[in-house]
Amino acid sequence: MKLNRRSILSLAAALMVGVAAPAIAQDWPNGPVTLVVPWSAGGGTDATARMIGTLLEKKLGVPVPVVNRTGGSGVIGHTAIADAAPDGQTIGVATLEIGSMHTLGLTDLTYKAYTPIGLYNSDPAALFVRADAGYEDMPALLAALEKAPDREFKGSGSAQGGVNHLALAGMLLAAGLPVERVAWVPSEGAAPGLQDLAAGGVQIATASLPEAAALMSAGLIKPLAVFSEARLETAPDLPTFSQATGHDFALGSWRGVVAPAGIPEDVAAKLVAAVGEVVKDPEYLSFMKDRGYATQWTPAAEFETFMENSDKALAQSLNAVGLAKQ
Amino acid sequence: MIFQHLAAASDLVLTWNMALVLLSSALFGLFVGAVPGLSATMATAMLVPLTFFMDPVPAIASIVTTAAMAIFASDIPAALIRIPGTAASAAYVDDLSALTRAGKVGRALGISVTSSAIGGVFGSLILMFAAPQLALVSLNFTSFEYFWLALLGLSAAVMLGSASILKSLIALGIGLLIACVGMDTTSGLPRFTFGLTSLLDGVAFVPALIGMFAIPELIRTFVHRDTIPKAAVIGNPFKMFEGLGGVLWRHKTNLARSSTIGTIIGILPGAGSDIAAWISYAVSKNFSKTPATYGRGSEEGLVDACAANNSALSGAYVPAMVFGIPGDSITAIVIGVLYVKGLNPGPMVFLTSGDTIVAIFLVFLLANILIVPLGLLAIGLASQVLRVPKLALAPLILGFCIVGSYSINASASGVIIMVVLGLLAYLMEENGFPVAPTILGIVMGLLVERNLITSLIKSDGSMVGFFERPIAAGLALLVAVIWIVPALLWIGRRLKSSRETQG
Amino acid sequence: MKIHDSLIGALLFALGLWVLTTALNYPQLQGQSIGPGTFPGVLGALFMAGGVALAAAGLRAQGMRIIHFDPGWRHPARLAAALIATVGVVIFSLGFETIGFPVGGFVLLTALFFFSGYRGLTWVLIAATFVLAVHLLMTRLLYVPLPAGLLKGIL
Repeated sequence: MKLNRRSILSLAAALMVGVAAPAIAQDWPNGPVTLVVPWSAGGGTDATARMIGTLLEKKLGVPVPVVNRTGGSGVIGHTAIADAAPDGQTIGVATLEIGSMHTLGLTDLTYKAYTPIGLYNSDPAALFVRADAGYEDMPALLAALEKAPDREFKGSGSAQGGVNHLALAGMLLAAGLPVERVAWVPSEGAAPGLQDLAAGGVQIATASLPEAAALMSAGLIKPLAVFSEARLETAPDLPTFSQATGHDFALGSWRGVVAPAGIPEDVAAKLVAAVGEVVKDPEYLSFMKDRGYATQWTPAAEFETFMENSDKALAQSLNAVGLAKQ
Repeated sequence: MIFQHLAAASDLVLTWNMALVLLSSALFGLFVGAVPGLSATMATAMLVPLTFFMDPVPAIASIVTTAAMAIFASDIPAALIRIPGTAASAAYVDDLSALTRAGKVGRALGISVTSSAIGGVFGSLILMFAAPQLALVSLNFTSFEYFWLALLGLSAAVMLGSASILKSLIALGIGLLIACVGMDTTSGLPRFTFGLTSLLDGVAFVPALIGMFAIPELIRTFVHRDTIPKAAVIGNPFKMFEGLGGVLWRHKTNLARSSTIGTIIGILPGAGSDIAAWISYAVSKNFSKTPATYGRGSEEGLVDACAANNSALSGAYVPAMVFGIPGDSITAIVIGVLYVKGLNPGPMVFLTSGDTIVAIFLVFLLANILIVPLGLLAIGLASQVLRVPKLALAPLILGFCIVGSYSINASASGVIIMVVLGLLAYLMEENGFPVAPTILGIVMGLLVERNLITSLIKSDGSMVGFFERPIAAGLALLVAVIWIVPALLWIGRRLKSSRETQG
Repeated sequence: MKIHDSLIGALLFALGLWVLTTALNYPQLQGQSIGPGTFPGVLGALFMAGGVALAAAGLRAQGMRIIHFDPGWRHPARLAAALIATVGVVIFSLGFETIGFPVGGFVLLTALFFFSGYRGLTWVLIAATFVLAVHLLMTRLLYVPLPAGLLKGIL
């Protein structure tokens, strides 16, 4: 045991000297910076966060472990970020759900619990069916939905009241159908929901296009429409929901880096600078492009304004679909 | 596809640089696995920063090797001090420690090291030759199938031990109840948290595992001093192989069966090497001619479970490589590394980067073969621990347990969970309740509940949906068999004995 | 500590009753007949049934004391060691960040060695070396943020 430990020690020390050295020079970062992701491993938020974590690790010279704190429709992870010690050693990725969770009555937590670092991505949701489902296009699916009794169709792709749930409910309302027409099966993120679609557990799934890329290229599922204002550069053949049906509806998720409220201003500034550099890194940009994620950078105060607006818009649509807590 | 890339792939693998990477990550994995509380996932996460400076193949190789070694090495503390290093060893910890007490620690770890290697090699071969096809099958699993699979695992736990079925069932229920603590995954409602924020995220699993195995053992060491049997010492490590060939040959069908079960369970997203070990152990007991020895030092059960947990490790890479769907938390990290290295998982990667993929497969093989020599080395070193009296070792073990429980979430609440659940486990064991089903209940509680609720939503509350799909119906039948066969045997014995007393 | 099955059964029944009533009070999912209370509710009912079955079996078997302690508990030193390893660890972890692992771990280990009959300078040194080695290994190499507590600034 003793000998084993010592040999490991020297071996690991030899390997890690290069990584550990810069960490001692300044007081932040002091040790690993944990990046909390409120959604499951393999989903879009996880994938982009891991990429940012990896590059941040290089930039800061300390490890940036990504921790998936899933469950509770995103409440657990978002709460974990807000409750972390405000020292900059724990940051996280906040998603659109931070604006809907409190309207749903799941938590009291709002965007005000965070120090905004920067918004790095927003992606419209798209609607998927199995490739062998027999619906050629969006109007065909809507026609089938019109005839079907309530709850015969099942949909999945996010937690109860998650962005993909709202996308489906909003689409049904826009098309003049009752929300109960499709029963929502909560999942822990887009990846398990899409897998359930491929397996035949549900008939409809909503998710962003990059999240579905692997299953699409395997020929198992296909998108029918995307809920955006204009066609996407990455998928020029896919019509928007308005183009396909004439009904107007658009909704998408967004992702941004946040820290707990009350972190020292200089640490916040360093974080904004560091993450700001990461999102301009060519490696990051080509990764996001390869996987079809849109990129943007809306730092600090502007991000706060963005979250405020998103919060209001979500409250409106949740009230419209009857999911808001009375 | 394998053979056309084999030459190019071997060039990538058989280099001095790779030898160094394999060796150092193997030693690292052995260490992490052998210390209770340090998990294979944690080891993998620590490696990620180092992989930046490596080419794709060594980067993945270091992770694969570390994980494979850690899963095997967790058997060492399980045998020596009855505390499993990771959850994957929890299914058969009683067999390992019973063999140790019987003076057969060399034989026990010998079986563990060779079965692990065989299972691992089997899983790697499956991964090499059938990954895309198998991944397609795994995609056919909906919540209905997962529900039955989880129930199969739970039934396994109840049938596992030598305790009474009623007490095993209650122990399982306690585990499932512990898994309910925290925010509900479908609604976000906090359950049984007593207003404590540290419980919102549920009862952390690693501290629970450490506490439930280590604390009762420590209390018994401190208090019941007179009744502790003396442990034996491994003499010559090479003696471990005496008679080992015979054991493995006798159980060759077990090896094949459990490696298959392990690989299949590994392929399913969300079920990893711990569940693989439990299920194959239970299947093994059901088919065994000597089911009564299970939990009391069964070599057969050991062969099965050790082969299964290492083969599951390779299986988890099938959906990861083909669809980017992680099979467990280790592959989730690996997927991240793959993306960084430009090897985006998906059906296309097998065509575009064939050389690299085959090279990664070769690494799987090498890592699992390396288990044997390096494992022997580790066993030899660790066995020195046995020369120290257990009472003198106990405070140091407690020290490791505190550090392990703290480090998983960097929170002292983990240490409190360890002690509280440890005391519960002590009371349970004193009164004939087995601890293993409780551990499994904690591991699988979430899987069972989520898939039950999701399935009920899909079927609008009716049970018919649980039997409609063919795989689901098949798994349901298997669950029924696991319950009915022992019941029939029991009734049979009852009838026979009553006839004897009458006659 | 062995407890009579009939008492365990009664305790389980009470636990089951509490779990069931708690679960029944949980809200249901919007528009669904199931919810967060479904699964714990089933567990609660199972505990009640299991408790009754166990108590019945216990009453039939009779003959044992209600609570039985292993003779080891009567030695003061052993009792002290067990209490330090459980209650002591809980108290330590309540002040984990302030005390820190090096100091708290050292005190804990030294006391345990003492009550286990390993006394003298050698064992104090063993405890100190072990705690220090583990602390350095964790914080420097594995990046586990073990708090240095009282020794902050020194380690």
